[in-house]
Amino acid sequence: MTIIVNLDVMLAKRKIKSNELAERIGITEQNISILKTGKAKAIRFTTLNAICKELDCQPGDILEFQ
Amino acid sequence: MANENLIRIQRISGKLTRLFMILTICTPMLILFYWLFFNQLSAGFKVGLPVDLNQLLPYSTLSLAFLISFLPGAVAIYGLITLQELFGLYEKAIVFSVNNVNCYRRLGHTLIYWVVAKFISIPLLSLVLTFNHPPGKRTLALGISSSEIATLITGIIVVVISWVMNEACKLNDEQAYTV
Repeated sequence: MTIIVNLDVMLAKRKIKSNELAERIGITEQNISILKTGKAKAIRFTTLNAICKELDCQPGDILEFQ
Repeated sequence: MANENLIRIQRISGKLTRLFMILTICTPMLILFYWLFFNQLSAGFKVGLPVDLNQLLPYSTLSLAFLISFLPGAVAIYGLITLQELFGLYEKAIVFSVNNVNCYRRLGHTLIYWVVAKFISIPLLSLVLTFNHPPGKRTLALGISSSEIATLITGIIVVVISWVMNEACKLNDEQAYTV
């Protein structure tokens, strides 16, 4: 049972590239890659807030418990 | 400010790496030259020996003494190589990695091994150096000084520090993967 990051799914739905999102929310492409590959150990509320705002979605659309 | 500090760490570490490299090369040479020219040395150079020597020693005895002296010497060289590796990492601005932790742990172990090597080499050296003396004049020195006890305690402290560094390493890892 783990937390799955569905960022790549949301990016595909919104037709936004990773580097574009990184630029818009002000984090590095490397950090987006860490999120997408599931290597992240924690996510800041500020980052989650910025992603949700930019992709017009809920935190639950990005994070899922499986 | 943090960058300035890191630059300072890198600069000083670079110099220390080179210093430890020179010492790593010089240590075995110093041990070799000490025993090679032992008979020509003044009494002041023989103060650190476990026995008092006034006569010239044959080369066979000096060769054995060299080999025994190389026991703590080898431990010291191992420690110097580890220091070289540690400061080499600092020079590359790698301060909280698994390799740093390993270096600290090895340094702690080196200090402990050094005390053990000294404890073994002192009686062996005294035996070898006085082996050619007439019966009754041969010496077997055995002992542990306050400096060895201090080194042993320092070694244990450095091992504990390596455990603390391991925790710091985990924190750094967590920080690196926090988005």
